[in-house]
Amino acid sequence: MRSRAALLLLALLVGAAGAGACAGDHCVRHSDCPEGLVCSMSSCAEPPDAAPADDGGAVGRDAAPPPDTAADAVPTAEDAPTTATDAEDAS
Amino acid sequence: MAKILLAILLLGPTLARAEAPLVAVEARVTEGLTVGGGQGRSVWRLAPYTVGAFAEVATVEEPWTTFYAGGYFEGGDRAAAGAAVGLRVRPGRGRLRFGAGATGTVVPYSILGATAAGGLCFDDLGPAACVELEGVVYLFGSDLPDDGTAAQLQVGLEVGFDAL
Repeated sequence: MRSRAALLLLALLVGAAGAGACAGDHCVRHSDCPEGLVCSMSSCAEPPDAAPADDGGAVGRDAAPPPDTAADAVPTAEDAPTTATDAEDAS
Repeated sequence: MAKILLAILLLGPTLARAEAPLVAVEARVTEGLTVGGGQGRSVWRLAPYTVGAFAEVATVEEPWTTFYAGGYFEGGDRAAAGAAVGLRVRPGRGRLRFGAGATGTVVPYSILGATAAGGLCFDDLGPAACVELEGVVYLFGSDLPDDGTAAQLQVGLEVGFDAL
């Protein structure tokens, strides 16, 4: 009886291994994927942060304000004392 | 003759071992299936094989309990190294063996998990030969996808030698 159970288990393992071999590029761990790819949703794919990097660092440029934006910030700063003065006048 | 072999296999777990070693070293190979997935989808695939060397030290006499530790190489479509530790219990010092512990690949990536195993050991002809079915649930590590889980079912074959 135990021998039959062992044979059944072995058959299941072999069968499942065959099915796994047909799984294509399906993955369970990142190391199942070719180098440069990661496992996401059971499939090998580009890393999530790879696409922005290919844009030439667009995110980095957005993080630093352009010169025009910086110039706009100066009048805004000057507006603050004006507002404070208005507040004193109001009191 | 076939009936005798069948009887040995069936009664194996209940037959007491001649003498359990206090310290043993063993070579071990494993192969099996790994399953993972998430969000309603699961994937089975062939697990990487492992080849390892372990040491086993007796810690409790009744029930016969041993502590084991060792390292392994993970191969196949990758190359990595890891380690495993745990406890094994052999009720009545028989052939039947149960184990639980932790395993983890640490180089060049990491994946750590908990293990549970059961198997049989035969040491009547000198070196102990063991066959074991082991389940692994991976809990964390850089090799584990953020959006999924991973587990492994594998068969381990061991050859052990008494050191003390």
